[in-house]
Amino acid sequence: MTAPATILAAAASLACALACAPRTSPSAEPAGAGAPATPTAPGAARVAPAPPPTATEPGTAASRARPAASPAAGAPLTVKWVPRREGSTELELVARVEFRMRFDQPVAITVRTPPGVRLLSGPERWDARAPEDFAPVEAAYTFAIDGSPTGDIVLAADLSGPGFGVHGKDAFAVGVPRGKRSEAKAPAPEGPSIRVNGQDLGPTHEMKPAK
Amino acid sequence: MALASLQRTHGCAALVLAALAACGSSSSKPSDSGAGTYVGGGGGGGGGIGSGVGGLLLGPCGGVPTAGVCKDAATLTFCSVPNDFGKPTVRTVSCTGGEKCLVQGGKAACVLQAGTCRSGMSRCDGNTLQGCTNAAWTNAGTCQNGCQVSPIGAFCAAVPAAQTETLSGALTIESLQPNADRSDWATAPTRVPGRGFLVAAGFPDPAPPAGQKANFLFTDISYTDDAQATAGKYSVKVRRAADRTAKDVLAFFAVRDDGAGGISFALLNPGFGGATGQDPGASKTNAAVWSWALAVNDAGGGNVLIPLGTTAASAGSAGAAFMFDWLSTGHKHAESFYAGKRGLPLAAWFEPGTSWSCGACMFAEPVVAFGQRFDTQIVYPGDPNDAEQWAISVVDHELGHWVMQSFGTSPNEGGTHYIGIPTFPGQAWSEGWATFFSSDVRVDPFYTDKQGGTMFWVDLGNRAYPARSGGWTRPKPGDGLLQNMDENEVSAELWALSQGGAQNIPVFQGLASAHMNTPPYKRGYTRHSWDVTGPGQFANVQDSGEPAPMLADFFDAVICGGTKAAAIDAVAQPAQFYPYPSSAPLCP
Repeated sequence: MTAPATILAAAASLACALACAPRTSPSAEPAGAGAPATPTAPGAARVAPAPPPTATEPGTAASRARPAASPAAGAPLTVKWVPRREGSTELELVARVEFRMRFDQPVAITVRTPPGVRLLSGPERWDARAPEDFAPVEAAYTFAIDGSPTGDIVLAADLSGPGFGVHGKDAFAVGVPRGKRSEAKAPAPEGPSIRVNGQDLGPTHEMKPAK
Repeated sequence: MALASLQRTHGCAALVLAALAACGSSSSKPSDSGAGTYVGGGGGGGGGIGSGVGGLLLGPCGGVPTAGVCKDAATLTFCSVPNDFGKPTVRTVSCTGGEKCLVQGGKAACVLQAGTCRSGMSRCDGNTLQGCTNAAWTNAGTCQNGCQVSPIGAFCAAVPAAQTETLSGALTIESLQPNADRSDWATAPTRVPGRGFLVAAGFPDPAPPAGQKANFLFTDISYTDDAQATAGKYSVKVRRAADRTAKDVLAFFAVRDDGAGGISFALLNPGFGGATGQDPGASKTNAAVWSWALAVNDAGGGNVLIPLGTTAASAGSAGAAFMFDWLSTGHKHAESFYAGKRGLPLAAWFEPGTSWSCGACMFAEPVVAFGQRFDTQIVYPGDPNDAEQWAISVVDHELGHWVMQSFGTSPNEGGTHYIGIPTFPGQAWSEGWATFFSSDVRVDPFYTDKQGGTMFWVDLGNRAYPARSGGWTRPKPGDGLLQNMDENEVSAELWALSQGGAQNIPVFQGLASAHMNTPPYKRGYTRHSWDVTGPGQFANVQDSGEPAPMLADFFDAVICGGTKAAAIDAVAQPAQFYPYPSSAPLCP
């Protein structure tokens, strides 16, 4: 980890120590205005103040801009783990919820840990409310890594009603290097390429007798 | 080689020995200087769609019209407006082979001239197989056992009919459906019949010409059935058992013929190898037709399966088959309403691991693949985390855009849009139609998708979002006919008008009516473009001045076509919501 990153992580850790709880960003909504994030877990902390600039990783956390249009913009909301610090025994992640729809009901956020990972700080369950300006809502988490985890740390968001439902999920694979956390391989063709009149139509794929 | 040609197509690398590649158009960013400035009068250009309206904004394509112009006899340029999350882009296409750029019916296109051909084409002239060299038909040989045309190429039957036997069976695909609470795709596969696949049986040429790879010699081709009672079933002639070897193959292709020797639609693999944010109009030089095969001797009694497998990769293969099944079903559904008229040739693209800058989108950009010029394209994303190959709502939503492009008129308003947030009338009409079509094909009001790791669903029959401002945003009577609308409100009104598919004929007839296809449209809406800075945040809004149809024009068309005004009132609810004046439709 580079020195600047260490400083950022330390600052993030300090911010977390102060209030590892959901927050809206870039700034918490004024009291009584809109619907600030309200953790519901017993003992969970209050809405955190806006993080100091040094507590955010440029380009990942608490962007001051609204969510950029992207192919995923069609989803009413998305959830994402943003890594802050990855050590051999401790892990700091930020749960980020990005809204693209004005829900008037809270979205249930849950965090599930696999065997080998313990939640040290941050609420297991809380309610996220969409800010008027669609700014991302975040919550900071610290996990202890006790052994060799056998699964992912799962962040989920749920809201459903009679005519609509949304279920967002992101999984953080502990100990897996970035860039190797998702499988994106094209199927390996297993059959022959078929040529017609000198024109190669491409390789064929697997099939088998139906049983 | 009879069919070989050396050719360079604009936007493609040199193509040697047949048109293996799909050659997209080149793109250029519109002139920044043009955006937001005015030109006096016209502005539609040579595509035959110049409206004559003064004071037009040049728009995001710098004045290049969506109908296109012929820059010269062999060069087409046009403003491409992909649906969904695409951005308007100026595209330039070089006509190939015997094509010339012509303006027909107000639209510029590369048109194949009589007596000429395109590299990669083949045909039968009696028992003579012909290929295309330098834009001219040339004889490739005389067929001893008969010549047969097919969408994957004309061919000489490999063996006499007497040396074949019939293999009959059914094609089945393993698919994933939404789970019980629609919170993700189910983990256990569901088997479904594979409808509308091309079935081919054959074997590689045992004695290919020196220095050349072996062509496949086909004994027969056919299609899997798409009728409900016989879905997935097929019969095809294979070489008789006494002559068959381990190299005899039974193959299924994601391609359908147009009844005239060409391809009506196909699902193709662009061969990018897992690119993210790919330009949908980019050249696809490693294109392949999605296909599945096994040895005839391993096919048992003919009942065969495209398995889900245990990896994202194998799920992509089964998913591609599942997508084609619903493309095929939707395509047949659409054409059933327009007897005798065929939709525009369609190239649909899907590759596991490859995503597109427009998300999933349909766009009317011509492309050449396997000797065929497709007028329209759809790209489907292949993010393994979302596995949208199982999202048949999306498969047929994009096909809904193709339906509008083929049988109606697109308002040509694309770009980022959000659930529950009203957008411009043209985009609301286009997206609303596409979602309605998807539900109509599936006879299901639920629209289910997964994007960015988030599964979500909407029930068109139950207008209820858990959203602010009263939930589902309905139109307001005081905001006029040209007000911005939630695309799903348009879908819900169409779904209600069709009575869940039971009365959908007037809906499809309305789309294809002269009223909806003859500019200027009577309600006077014109195509807009804009930037989106966030949900409901529009910037740099520009009015192109090009006439564009929208929901009120459609209601006019439906009433003028004979539907009672009360039926429209029942879905628009003008006193409370959309103020459509059903007692005063604007009929021709």
